[in-house]
Amino acid sequence: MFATIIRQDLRLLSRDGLALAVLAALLAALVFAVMSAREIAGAHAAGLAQEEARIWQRQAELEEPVGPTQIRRPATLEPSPLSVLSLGRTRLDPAQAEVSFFSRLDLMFRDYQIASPFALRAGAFDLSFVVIVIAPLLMIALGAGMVLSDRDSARLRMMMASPASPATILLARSLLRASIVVVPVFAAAIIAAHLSDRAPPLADLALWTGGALIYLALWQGLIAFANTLRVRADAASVGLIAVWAIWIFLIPAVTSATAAALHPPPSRAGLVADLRAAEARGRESAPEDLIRFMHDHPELQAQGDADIADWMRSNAMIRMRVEAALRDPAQEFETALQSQDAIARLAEFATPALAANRALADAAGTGEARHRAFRRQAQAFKADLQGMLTDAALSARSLTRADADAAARFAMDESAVPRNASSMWFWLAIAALLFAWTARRASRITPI
Amino acid sequence: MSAVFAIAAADFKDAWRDFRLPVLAALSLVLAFVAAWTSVDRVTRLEAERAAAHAQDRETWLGQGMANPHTIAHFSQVAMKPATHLAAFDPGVNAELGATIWMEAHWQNPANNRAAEDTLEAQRFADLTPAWTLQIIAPLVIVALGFPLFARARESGLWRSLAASGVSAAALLTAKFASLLLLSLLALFPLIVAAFWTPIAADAPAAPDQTVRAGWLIGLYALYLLAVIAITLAVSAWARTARFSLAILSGLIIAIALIAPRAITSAADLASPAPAPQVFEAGLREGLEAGIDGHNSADARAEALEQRVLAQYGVARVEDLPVSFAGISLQAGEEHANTVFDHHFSALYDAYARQRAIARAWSWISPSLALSDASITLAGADDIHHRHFTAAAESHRRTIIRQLNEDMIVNARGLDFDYLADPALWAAVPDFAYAPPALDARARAHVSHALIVLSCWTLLALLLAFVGVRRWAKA
Repeated sequence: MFATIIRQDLRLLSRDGLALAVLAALLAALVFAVMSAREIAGAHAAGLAQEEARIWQRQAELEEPVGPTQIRRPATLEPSPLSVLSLGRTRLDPAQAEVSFFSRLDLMFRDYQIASPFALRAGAFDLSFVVIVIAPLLMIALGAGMVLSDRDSARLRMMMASPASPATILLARSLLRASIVVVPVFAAAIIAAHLSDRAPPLADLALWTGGALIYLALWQGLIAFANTLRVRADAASVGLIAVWAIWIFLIPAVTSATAAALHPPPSRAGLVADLRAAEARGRESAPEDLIRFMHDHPELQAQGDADIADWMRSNAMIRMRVEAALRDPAQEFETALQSQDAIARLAEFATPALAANRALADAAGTGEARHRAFRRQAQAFKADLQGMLTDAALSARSLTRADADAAARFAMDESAVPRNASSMWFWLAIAALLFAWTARRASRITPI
Repeated sequence: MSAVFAIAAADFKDAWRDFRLPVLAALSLVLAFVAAWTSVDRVTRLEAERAAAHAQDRETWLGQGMANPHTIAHFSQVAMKPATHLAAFDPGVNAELGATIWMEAHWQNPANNRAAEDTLEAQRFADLTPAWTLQIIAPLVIVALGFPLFARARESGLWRSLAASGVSAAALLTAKFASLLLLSLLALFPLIVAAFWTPIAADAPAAPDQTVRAGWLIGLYALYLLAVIAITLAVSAWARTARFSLAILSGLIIAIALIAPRAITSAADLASPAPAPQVFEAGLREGLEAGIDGHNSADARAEALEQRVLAQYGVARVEDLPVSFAGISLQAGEEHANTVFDHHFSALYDAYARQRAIARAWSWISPSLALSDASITLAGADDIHHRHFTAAAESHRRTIIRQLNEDMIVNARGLDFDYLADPALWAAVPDFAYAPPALDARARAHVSHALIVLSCWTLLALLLAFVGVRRWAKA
């Protein structure tokens, strides 16, 4: 019976202009999303690779004796093969730095902010966007009246004369109509992931598809539930579209506006002015700072050119002053962003769109968490590398090629990237409840 | 006239009785409050922080002791971009473009410290500003109020009574237009008040032609809302049922206001991509090293400069020059670099402009995109205004560096980088003062394009509505 209902519904849908339009719109959106994200992710990865190659090329050309200030290391956030599924913060947050003796925390990531402001503003048209924003709409268009319109037109009475129960009809139609959206989405995701130059990490791909499946299942559950209500099909459509607008636009908009107003980050302009004041003070007091420093570090007496040693020491003194001045504001930024994030995490329990957005971006390796972890690790790497180079630089001691080659290299510790998908588990539970409730109500659907 | 009034009154009662009007008005009130509060707070705070930071930085600049001018040229100044009143209404792409530019020697930095990096991912779904509420929420409200205006009358059979009463198609359309306009004004009243109040309440500098800009904004947004009203009436007039009318209108508004702008902007970004930052920087470095044409290496330029200067002063050795060759060399390097910067940054901003032109050409299919394109220009929050700011900062950078290099040329003979200038020199370097520009021809082109697109949509929709009403009246 189940198969018969599916066959009948498939025949019905194949003659329905709306269903064909939905499928066409979905396929067009998927093709465009994959092409667009692939292009952007490809250009991003190529840019990072080019810069890495340039830095290593320069390192390869170093001749002995190697000055400690000549040693450079790239710190790069390796682009994830799954960024083609969710671009996330790919073009927004820094993903690379050239680390050397001269690197300063406040200037480590610079000159990366030239991506199209219009594209950043509008947001990426990637598979995440299709899943989170477009797919639910198409599912509503296909499913909002799957039983209700038959009841409105009195066809349901005839259908209920057959051995199929209303619950079976609802389940069969739900499965078929959800598949029309879900199957192409997952096919596109799997194809896109395998179009990448590198093999996609299967665990992350499974997480991405799992997150998308939970989100779309929730929508289908809601649509099926709406079909068990004693309302007209148009009222159900209006209600579902209203839920869509509230989940996808209203709650995120109000959340971000409120979070930014309640926990504004400290002034960026003020920070720039503070750090510049610290730099100017550092320059003025460098000679005295240097005397104090050398008193504390008698082992660093210049072995090479004393002028160069003095210059490097002054440079290091100024850097230390500026970085000391940055410590508190950096902490304030972190605190403000964490407070905003706490509000956003709460909001993820009010709208599955935000929960899915985070889950999909995290699975694709393009979320806030990975970018933040990269910045922290790159800063720690800078401190380590500079620690290694400082003794040699301050005593103007030259290094051998072997020393230069042995200098630390940045490697991102992916295990330190926090992942928290509690909100997605919450929505999975809600989806399960919705299906259970729908099943219960479906058995009581009346033909009029 | 009495028929028009009676029809409008009946529609008002319907919308009130089925709670559409009070619910939508309440929603609009909440959104208006949050949008106005957060927008005024954002712009006022940013502007106060900018002004304080600028004053502090000037104090730092003037407080520098004796130093080599080139050391000070590296430290240089920072240009901080001011917000404007109208950016409280529509922040445009300000958050995605940087707000500060370090005007250091040897290098033109792009603007950095983008506010977008300090915002939540949630903000990338929707940015609750007065402009956004009018571009996205207002059409949805109008659709919710207007979808059944003709369609339900036909479904319920009321249409026949109206036709029998001798009301003409034009009178009926006028009545429904008046109904929907009145209902929309009532429901959207808080959003409209918030849109007017926000820029007035924000404490920020005004553009020189603020009144003209505000006038254009009012006109274009009014036309946009009229276009949405006309579209709603047209679809309702042609749809067989209210449900079909709602389905078509919801799909249409979501497509033209939400999906199409993102799709078109993404397509424009692909068609005219800005270079990856690393590629852009590599281009700058190569240009500085080899010259734009790749045939004028740094070493060759230095050699040619030395020969030219020695010949100019009629001496054989650099040590015999009556000026500092290091200073001359620094300034020559700057002048060469300036051509490289002009070339690459022009290409970058041209790429942005091409993206916008592509999106503008496609905005015929999305009046929302046409409106937002003009809106960010009028609010002074687009690439044209940003380019004006970066050009002003770059011009100031060149002034600072030239002034410091010239001091070195004249006074650092024989000392070069050991020369220390008096702090009076720092006071002689002008402060960076920036005023936003008036609308220029490029900006006006965006505004007039939106005006034409919105007018065409309004007229076409009204015509379709009229034909639809007449068709049913005849039937």
